[in-house]
Amino acid sequence: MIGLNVRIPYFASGVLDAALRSVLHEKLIGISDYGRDRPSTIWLSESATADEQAQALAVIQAHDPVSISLDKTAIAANGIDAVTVTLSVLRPDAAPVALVITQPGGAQLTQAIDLVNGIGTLALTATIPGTYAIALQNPANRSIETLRVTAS
Amino acid sequence: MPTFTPVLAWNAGRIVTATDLNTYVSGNDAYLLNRPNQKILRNNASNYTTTSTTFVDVDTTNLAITLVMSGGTAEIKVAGIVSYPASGGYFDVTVDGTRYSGATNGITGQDASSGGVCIAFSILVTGLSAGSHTFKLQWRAATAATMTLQSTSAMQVAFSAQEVS
Repeated sequence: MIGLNVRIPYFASGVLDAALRSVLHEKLIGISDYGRDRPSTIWLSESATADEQAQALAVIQAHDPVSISLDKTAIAANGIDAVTVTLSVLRPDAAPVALVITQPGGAQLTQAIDLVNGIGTLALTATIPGTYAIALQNPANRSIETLRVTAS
Repeated sequence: MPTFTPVLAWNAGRIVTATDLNTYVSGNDAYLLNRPNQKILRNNASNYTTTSTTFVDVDTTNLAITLVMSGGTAEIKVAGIVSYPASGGYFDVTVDGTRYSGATNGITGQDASSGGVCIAFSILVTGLSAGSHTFKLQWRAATAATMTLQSTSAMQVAFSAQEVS
C-alpha cells in the first residue's frame, strides 16, 4: 500500500473519495484525515504508478467542495410554503454554482446561485405535489449530495 | 525504569550476597510492581476520518505505543466514540506491524451505519519475546464512505498497553 501525504486545505472526505475513485478505480484504497494541521493520507494500491499518483494529486488540486443543506424536507404544495436551500463553498476561488431541481415527473430546472462570502441561498416553492430532488449541477469533485423535499 | 533479571536456580551451598538479594528480590519486585506500560488520551483537536476499505493506522504517530518488555504478554485497551458510515466499519491493532486478528473485519466494529457510538475493547497479546514491541490502532470502513473517530478536548481516544506477565 502506498500512502501519499498531502495537504488538502479544502476537503470534503466523501466527495474527494468519490472523485479519486472515478479516476483511479480499484487503485484507490481510501483517504485518512487527521485534522487541518496535518497532511491527509491518500492510500493507494501498491501497483499505483507514478502517473496514477500524479493523477491523484491533480484531482486533489482541483477539489472544490460544495455543501448543500435544506431548512426543511416537507412543504405544502401551495406556491407559498418555501424550503430554503443553502449552499456553501470552502475555496475562496470556488467555481460558480448552480442547482438542478428535478420535479415529480422528471422535468428539470437549473438555477444559478450567487455566493456572498462563500454562501448562497435559494427559496423554493411548489404547486405540484410530489418529491423534488435537489443537487449541484456538474457535481464531479464538488458534491455527492442529492437532497429531497416532499410537497403535499 | 526497573529491569527484570531472570531468577537463578538456587543451589544448596550458594552464599547469598547483598547483590543477589538486590538483583533478584528487590530489583525484580520493583519491576513487577511497575511493569512497562503506556497510556494515551488522545486529543487531536480534530476528529480522525477515513474512507479506507483496507486497514490503516488511525494515527501512526500518536496512537502508537512501544513497550520494552521482559515478559511475553501484554494487554491492549481501546475506547472512543465512532461514527460508522453505511455498511459500518472495523477496528484492529497491529503488533509489530502485523494485525492482531488477521480477520477480514478485525477485532470489532459493526456492520451498519450509526452516529456517535462507543467503541471499547481489550485484547491479550501473548507469545511476545523479551524486547521492544509496538502496538498501533487500525481501522477501516466497510465501504468507501467516511468513518469518524472523535478526538477532541470534548471526547478523546483512550489507547493503552501494559505488560501483564
